[in-house]
Amino acid sequence: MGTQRDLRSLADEDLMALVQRGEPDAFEVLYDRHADASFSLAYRMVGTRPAAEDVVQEAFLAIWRSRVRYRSDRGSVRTWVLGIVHHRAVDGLRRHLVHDRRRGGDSETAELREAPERTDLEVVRRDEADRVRTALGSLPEDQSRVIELAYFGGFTHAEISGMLEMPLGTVKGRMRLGLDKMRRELQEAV
Amino acid sequence: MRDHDRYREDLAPYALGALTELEHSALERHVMGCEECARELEGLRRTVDLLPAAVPAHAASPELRASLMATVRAEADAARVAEASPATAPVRAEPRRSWRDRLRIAVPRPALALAAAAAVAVASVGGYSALDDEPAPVAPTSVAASVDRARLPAAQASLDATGDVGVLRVDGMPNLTGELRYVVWVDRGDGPEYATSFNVRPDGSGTAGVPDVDGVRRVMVTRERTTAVDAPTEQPVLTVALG
Repeated sequence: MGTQRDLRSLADEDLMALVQRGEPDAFEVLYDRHADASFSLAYRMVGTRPAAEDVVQEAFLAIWRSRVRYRSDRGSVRTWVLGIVHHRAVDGLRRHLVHDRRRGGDSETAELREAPERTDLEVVRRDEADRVRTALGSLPEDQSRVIELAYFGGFTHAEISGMLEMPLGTVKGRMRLGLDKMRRELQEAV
Repeated sequence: MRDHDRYREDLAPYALGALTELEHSALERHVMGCEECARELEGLRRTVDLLPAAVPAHAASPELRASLMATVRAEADAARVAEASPATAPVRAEPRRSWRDRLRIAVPRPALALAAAAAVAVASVGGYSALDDEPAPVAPTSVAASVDRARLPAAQASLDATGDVGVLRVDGMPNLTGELRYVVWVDRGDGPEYATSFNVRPDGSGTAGVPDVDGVRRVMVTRERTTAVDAPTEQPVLTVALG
């Protein structure tokens, strides 16, 4: 096992190999690397700090306990981690675990993260975040709304259809149109 | 062909996680045998995978990290020992010392690992234990919980503590469904304070990291409908007395 400093210099995939051998130090570095993104996603979805922390804790424990299932040929570690966080948040929302708390959000968690170190990777991620926000923001409202309700709200297409009083086929069509448009925007921006 | 068109319509909701479980499974089966849909889905997924980047940034708390890593390290230690020694390692009880005295002992990691394994091996969780062949000093780190047998007839629980970090281990607890969660409270003498929440695995076992047990007199667990409660809404189903 390397020192924390050695571990922090490793790429995610190399860290994950150590995590898969049951190394908690490697897992800690992996957590540190993706904790804020995971918490930010969970907080956006469930609306309060305690509920978001529950989601992140459950997700990372699931990651630790199912670490052997990660396969690098199926995508990056970050995508895998955030996918599990998203899945746990949706699960919580659908179980109404945080049903009464996500409407308004809590004011004490409105703080924004302090500027992290300007590592090359962080610069790339900020740039990516800007591009994704721009692409999402450039969609017609009827498309961005169904995408946000589905992905961040955890609602099924049938629930969205009922909420917006819109035929199911229209909801699905708008999801497709919106994602296709985002993809084109993002490809052009690269 | 009609089926194919219907499934193709579901690709975007699938990528966004907006299908029901039944629809989700049906689409997965179709995609496994349909190259065209698999290709389209891949493109949609790549876009959806970028959506988390669009959310405003917030920092995860140090307490969350401490709680998570306490659990992870305890599980890693227990697993390492389970691999290295038979699961039925002999155990013996030691004379009871105060919980705070026990925490003051510096425990080298191998000793902690052995103690953690012993705590796991002793299903009855009868207080604290150590391996016979462990070189001195051995630090028993497990304090048994008292359980409300009327509500949790089969439950066993203990708190393993090292320094200021505690790990609550439970077994034989009902897996909660719906809105219910187990909530862990710590009491330093001025009333219960929220520590963390957890649920158990389908087999009834579970762990929860308690990041700061310094000065704590009691660790309690209640069942709550939301983790936003300020105080327990029922009498504890289990209590660990540390004072």
